[in-house]
Amino acid sequence: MVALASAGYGGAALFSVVQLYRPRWEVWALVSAGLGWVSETLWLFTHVGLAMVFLTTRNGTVAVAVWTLVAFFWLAQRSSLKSLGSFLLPVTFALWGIDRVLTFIFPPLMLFAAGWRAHVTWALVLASVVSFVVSAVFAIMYVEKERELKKRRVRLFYYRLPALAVLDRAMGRLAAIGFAIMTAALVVALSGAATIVHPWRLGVLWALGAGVLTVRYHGRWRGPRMASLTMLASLVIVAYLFGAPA
Amino acid sequence: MVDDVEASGNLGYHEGKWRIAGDEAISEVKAALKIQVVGINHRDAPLMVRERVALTPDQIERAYARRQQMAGQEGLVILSTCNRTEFYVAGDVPLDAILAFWESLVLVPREEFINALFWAEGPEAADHAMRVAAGIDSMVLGETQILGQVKTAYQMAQAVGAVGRLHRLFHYALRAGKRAHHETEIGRNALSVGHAVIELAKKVLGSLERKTALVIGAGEMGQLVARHLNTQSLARLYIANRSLARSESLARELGAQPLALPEVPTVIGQADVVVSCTTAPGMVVTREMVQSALEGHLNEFRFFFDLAVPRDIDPAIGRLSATIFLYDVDDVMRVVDANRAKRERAVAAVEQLIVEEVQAFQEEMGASEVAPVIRSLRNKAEAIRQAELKKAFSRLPSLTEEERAVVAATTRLMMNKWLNDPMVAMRRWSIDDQKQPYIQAVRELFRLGDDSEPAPVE
Repeated sequence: MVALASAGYGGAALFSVVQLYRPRWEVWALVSAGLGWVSETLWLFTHVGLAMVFLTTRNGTVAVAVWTLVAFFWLAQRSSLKSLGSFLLPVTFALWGIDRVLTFIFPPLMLFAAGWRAHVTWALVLASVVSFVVSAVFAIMYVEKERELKKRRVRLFYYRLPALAVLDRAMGRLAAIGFAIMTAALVVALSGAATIVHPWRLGVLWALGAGVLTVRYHGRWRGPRMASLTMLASLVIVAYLFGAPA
Repeated sequence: MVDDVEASGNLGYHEGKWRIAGDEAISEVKAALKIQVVGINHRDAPLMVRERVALTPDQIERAYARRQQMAGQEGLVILSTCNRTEFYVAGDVPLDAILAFWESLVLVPREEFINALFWAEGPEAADHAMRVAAGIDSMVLGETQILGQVKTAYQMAQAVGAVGRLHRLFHYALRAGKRAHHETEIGRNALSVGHAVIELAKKVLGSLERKTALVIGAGEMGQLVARHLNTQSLARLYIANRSLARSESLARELGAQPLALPEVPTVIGQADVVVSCTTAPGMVVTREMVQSALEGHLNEFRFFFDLAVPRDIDPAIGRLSATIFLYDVDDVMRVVDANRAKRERAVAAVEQLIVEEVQAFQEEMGASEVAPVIRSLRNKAEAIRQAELKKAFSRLPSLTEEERAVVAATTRLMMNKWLNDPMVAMRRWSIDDQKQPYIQAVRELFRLGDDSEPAPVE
């Protein structure tokens, strides 16, 4: 199942980039993503088990994050943001691949988790991470399209990516949603969960999210500076996803 | 039912289906449909010729009313736009008759336009109709307007019953046009400065709905851009000009708000899109003006277009913020050129789908031409089978109903298997002009008549 999921996600990442140049390949990206997603779903249910396990091991949490990102990709297929897949699927495959390598080197640890609060906290953190990752993907798209427009060399991204304002808005909204979820996670963690999530580390992430939103909505940052900051913040948050439970 | 069949095969099947007949009956078989197109267009005919032989809607109506003057025509559609006038004719009509008809409509002797004429028939005519509908024969490559014009021409002919046997041709041509615009990028991306301004603004701002635009300069370019912007459901459109009377005149026409040039600094801060195209010798929009107007809003998306030569907008404005975009006329033209190159790359894909559509059209037309022969052959075989069964059953009166059914089914199976290969071959021949004599040979070999009725029921 893991091999099938890896092959599916690898193919989806490759074909989703190819379809930017040759739109007819889109169907292969969809088929590959579908293969990976279904295989991963089966794997989650049959081998990892439900919430009790996958929310308390690193490879389990990353797998759920990847599964959720691909679910987001399917949702985006139904909107005007179809080109998101060409950036999101490679990022998703990278997360999946890094996790597979880490799992190979460091066998997954079963972490201590007691009570529903611990699981709710971790599930909220996970949702927040997913939100920030998608926000970062929009930031990458923004930077690529803006580069073409500023250099007056219209090429692929000029034609295929949504308007800068749309990308900027999506970037900001997802960061705001991620921050709101992370706030909820922090509240639950501070309310006494015997938890795998260290409140002080979560607090650092929360402060990072707060900083991103402050410069955006109070400092009125837009454009490449905001995109760079979003990517950086998301990178830190993803590092936390890999590092926190270990 | 079979009325009478003789073993010798000299007598026919009487219900008018097939008959064992001579050359007279064979000559009744419907001839292959001839489709041709005659016309002039922007490629070979200059405007002074095109305008002389173009037809107004009234003239086209009169043409349809008088179409019987063209002896032998079985369908007529006239397409007349500013870039082309084309006659699509079905039926065995000599070119000379079409030209004479055209002359009589426009009262221009053919000598004046014959050198610019083009003519095509058969698959080439179908190919031309599809290329026209897809916009790859247009002056502006991939334009979508022509598809609507082809549809209108077809509907106009249909309204007066002139389409006749051209119906399927136009069905395929319109389908090819729609496919071209839906499946390829032939009609996407702007090819004019006015459209490119809208396209670029949308690439940054998204929809222009509820946005504010300011056009500085109400000359030819200013009017063009203002008209394009006015189609975008803007919240507000300002038109500023050195002469207030001129900006008022344009603003009145477009429902915009007129301004005098000195008022520009007061509204420039509200504008998401600013287009300047004056003939002023110096800068009309300065860095200081924009910086002061955008105080506290420098991080909002704005697009400035400087379409003037010499330039109207200080280039330093583009460096005020990363969310401010400034394009001059060369930058816009670079985008137009990239768009044109992109459309040219799409032509191959359009041509490929036209090949598919022409082939499908030919197959359908070929099938419709060969169908009577196939039906006739099948009916003849069926009639013979019925007659022979009748004789056999009369010689074998002891057969039960069940046994009779088995014998009947076996003979039907044999007949179908035997006919299968010739029918497949004939369908294949129908789309190959060189194989047309083979179909005629089948008619003569089996002595078939024209037959469009279903086979008799057993």
